[in-house]
Amino acid sequence: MSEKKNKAELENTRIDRRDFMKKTTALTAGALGASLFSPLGTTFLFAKTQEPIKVGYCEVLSGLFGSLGTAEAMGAKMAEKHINAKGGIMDRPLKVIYEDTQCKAQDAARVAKRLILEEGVVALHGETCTSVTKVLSDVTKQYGVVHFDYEVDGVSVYKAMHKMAFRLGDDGPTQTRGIVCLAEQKYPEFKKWAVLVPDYAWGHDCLKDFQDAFGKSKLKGGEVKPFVHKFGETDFSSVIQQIVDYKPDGLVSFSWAGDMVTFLRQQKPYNLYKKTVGFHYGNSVGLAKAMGKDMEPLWSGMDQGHPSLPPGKKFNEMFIKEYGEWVTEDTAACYYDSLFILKDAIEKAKSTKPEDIAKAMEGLEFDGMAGWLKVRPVSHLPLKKAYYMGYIGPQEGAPYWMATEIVSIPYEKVMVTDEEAKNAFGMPIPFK
Amino acid sequence: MGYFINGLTYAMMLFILSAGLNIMLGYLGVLNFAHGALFLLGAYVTYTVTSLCGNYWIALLVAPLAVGLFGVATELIFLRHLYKRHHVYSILLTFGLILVIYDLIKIVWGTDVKTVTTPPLLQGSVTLFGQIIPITSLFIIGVGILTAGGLWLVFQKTTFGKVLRAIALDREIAEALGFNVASRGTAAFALGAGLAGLAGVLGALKLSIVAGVDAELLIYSFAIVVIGGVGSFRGTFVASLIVGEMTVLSSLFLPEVSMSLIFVLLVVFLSIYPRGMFGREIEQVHYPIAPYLGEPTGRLRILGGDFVSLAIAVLVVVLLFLAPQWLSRYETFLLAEIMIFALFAISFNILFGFTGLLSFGQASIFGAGAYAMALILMHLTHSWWLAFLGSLVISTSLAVIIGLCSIHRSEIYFGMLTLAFSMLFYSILYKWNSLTGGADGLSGIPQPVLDFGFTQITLSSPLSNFYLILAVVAVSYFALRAIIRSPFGQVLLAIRENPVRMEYLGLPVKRYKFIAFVIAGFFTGVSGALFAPFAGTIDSMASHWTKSGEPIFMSLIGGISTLIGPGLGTLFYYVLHSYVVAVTEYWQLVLGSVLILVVMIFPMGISGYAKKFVLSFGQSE
Repeated sequence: MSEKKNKAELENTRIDRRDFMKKTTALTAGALGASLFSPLGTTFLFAKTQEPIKVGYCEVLSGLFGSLGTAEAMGAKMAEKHINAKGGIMDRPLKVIYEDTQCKAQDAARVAKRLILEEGVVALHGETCTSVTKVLSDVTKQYGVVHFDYEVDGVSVYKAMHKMAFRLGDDGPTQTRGIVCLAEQKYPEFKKWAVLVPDYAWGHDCLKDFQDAFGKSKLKGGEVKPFVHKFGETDFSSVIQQIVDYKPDGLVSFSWAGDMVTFLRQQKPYNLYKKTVGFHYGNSVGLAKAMGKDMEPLWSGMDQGHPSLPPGKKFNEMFIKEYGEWVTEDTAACYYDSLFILKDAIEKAKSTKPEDIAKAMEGLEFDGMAGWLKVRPVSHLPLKKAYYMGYIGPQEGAPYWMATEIVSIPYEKVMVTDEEAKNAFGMPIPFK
Repeated sequence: MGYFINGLTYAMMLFILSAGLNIMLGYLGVLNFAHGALFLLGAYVTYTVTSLCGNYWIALLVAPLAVGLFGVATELIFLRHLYKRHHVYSILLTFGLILVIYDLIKIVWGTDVKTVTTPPLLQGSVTLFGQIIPITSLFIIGVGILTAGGLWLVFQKTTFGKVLRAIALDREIAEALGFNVASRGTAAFALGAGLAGLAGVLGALKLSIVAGVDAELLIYSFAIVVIGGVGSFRGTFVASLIVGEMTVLSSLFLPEVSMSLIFVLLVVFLSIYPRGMFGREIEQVHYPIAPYLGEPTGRLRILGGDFVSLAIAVLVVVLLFLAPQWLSRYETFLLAEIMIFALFAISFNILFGFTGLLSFGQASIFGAGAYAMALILMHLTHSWWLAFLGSLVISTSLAVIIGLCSIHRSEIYFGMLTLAFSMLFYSILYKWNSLTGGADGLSGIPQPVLDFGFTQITLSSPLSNFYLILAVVAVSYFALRAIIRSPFGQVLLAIRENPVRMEYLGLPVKRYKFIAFVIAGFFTGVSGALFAPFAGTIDSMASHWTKSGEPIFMSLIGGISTLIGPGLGTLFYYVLHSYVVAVTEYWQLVLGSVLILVVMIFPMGISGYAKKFVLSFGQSE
């Protein structure tokens, strides 16, 4: 009896498979079709058949921080296109393989190994998340592949660097010192500083860098108070209320992407940025774009790829021509440049062997869409002409807030020296 | 006062979201993991509507309707067919939906962070008792209270609500009384989805609109539904107030433990008082899994004779031993990782496929094994034996603790309790920065030394790692095989199909379940201990509840009715994941679609269909 009942129940709940298959196949085919004809999909469909020089591009392309990685991928894709349009590298096409690390270190390790062992990439580029950068450094060291990046990272990655690792972006200390230098010049009277800190390596590294730089500056004697929030925070109200109660003169933020946008939105009714002067570490284009006319005026670190600066302006024109919109992040130009830097290194080395490329990278000078830089031969960190801080405000004709005032700080004043990299941050130099 | 209003605002947004979740769980028995994704969808629709017509108020009407309609489609196409199946299928379906919705959002709206301009009426703030109160906060509080009132009216005073309550109490009797249960179910799901959409419209005033922002809200909503009580809006309302205020105040007064507090509360309620403050324990109709595995109820068979299956297993091990000769370096590396996660999935399936317990806490045990191994290797010794032993002691101890607290709960409550433990453990790993490296985890884990007394092997080469992993996984597999084929294993199968009957027969069901949980935990710990030195890195996400979703996915694809099924599913998952990621950035869409197809059409999984084929062949003979 019960078996019959069970059978009857099963009959009732059984799905008409054909009918269901029709519906789901149509849905899935539509969705897959859409994915294949996306920009990344077309790279796959129309891949070249020549023997290319392969570069792995590991970035966070989805989730809370996906906007940054995606913007940078757009810059890299443009570079790939432009390099190949001009005959590639040593008459071989450049093929960049883009992979989403999701900002997860464990997945990134597998992705990196696939790119190195399966695809045979000569170099790995990436990435935005400090924890993932560390893993990429470990893997590239293990397999003897060039690791380079033009993003911002915490200094905790320096310990994992090796003779084939290059970090071309402005690191945490450079950016925090930029903020301190600017404050010394413009706001020497400020006594109370609130610091918004995301609760992971990047945030903790930056807080420490800021406290160090602050302690050595003319601002010394003032008070620095951190306000920590977790990754993917949805309610900043408590942090905001505490900052309001603290009544700081300056508000420094090291949060980024979705978290920073949420913070900016939630503080708006409290007019925090009218009561205090805001300082943001960098990557302000994405913030300004997301916030639109609700953006807040603040000082922000700027890569030269920022459309407010001359090189970035030129890059922006190219970007508009390619994608029909303004650059979505100032580091897009950096990622554009980094592939050209690799190209120069390969051509200088006249070899695609990673160790030859790494050797050629040392001391290489490059002037591109994110300005001029020289790769320092000992620490593999960059030397640039200046570090820029821009005061972000509304500008006619621009789709998002731009820098209305720009302060240039000599790079030597803010950069991490080779000695410091070794002694203060544990970089194992000279690399063996 | 300012903090209180902030807490109240957060509470009201959570209330609206949780009320939707409660309708789905309390009235339809669906634990909707895609509820956060529906919230996100509501926020994105708000963005589109306000971008197109510049009017937030239109979005306030359109977004809940749009998400409600999406809910109707989901219910009609998918969920309706799953109500009379084991609850795990609807949970897995909503898992698949999350992946699909995330990538559909990416296709339609891209990955840029979006925001919605606050309408002029809601801009600015007022000062109450000397404190600044944003007008948006007052608006959200107002909408929350109105929603609470509206839901009370609908569920207490209308026929629709009364019928839904009747369906929730006894679906079959409601059907027998002539109510159109199916259409009411669709309407209820649509209402729940619409509430998620409404929360999304309100959230758009406060949050950045980007995939991932929903993760925290989903977990808080689960907590609220449990604490308040399933099926009780009053409970949801009060629990939202508790959670909202606790979140805001704890980050002020107890910032170091604020992340864990909510999960401690959840564990306490689920352990001691699963009905919650005002709810009822949901009717737990136990639908057997066997009919969907190609096994008629009452006839549970393990494939093949002992000798044949043992011979196949030995052959597989031999082939794996020889595999590095034929495979590339990457394929060898990938195969090693597949073996580790196959063991993770097989261990999980001892609980799920063989005992009928759907645990979302296995990731915490995996993480415990991995972190313990990493920390011992980094700080105490490089001896693989000692580190391995130490990590097993720690991971198994955690399994014992979680098992002791969870096993007396069944079905959905068990799943939620293990999820709460997983998140509690995750929050400890996340916050204990000095020991665990916090969110960034540990990297540069040293390669251990395998000391045999007469010789030492440093596990630095991929090949030595591969063979160590193969040896440990093979021994674990044969041990699990022996357990499953023992009378103890047969009892577990019987418990899976009908725990009540087994209890009537005098079997100590809970004790059996506990032992199964510890066994599964032990081998999960083994996989974690293997993983840390192999990957060279481990971070707190390894213990996040979403990581527990991976063995579920692998088991279902491979087939839960066989021991080897989850292993096959792991192989399928990894090959699919590794290569789809390389082909398209919309890999989540592919994985999600596969999961949905498996749930809806191929519930037996790869090994289940193979088993069915072999069995039918035997029958025809």
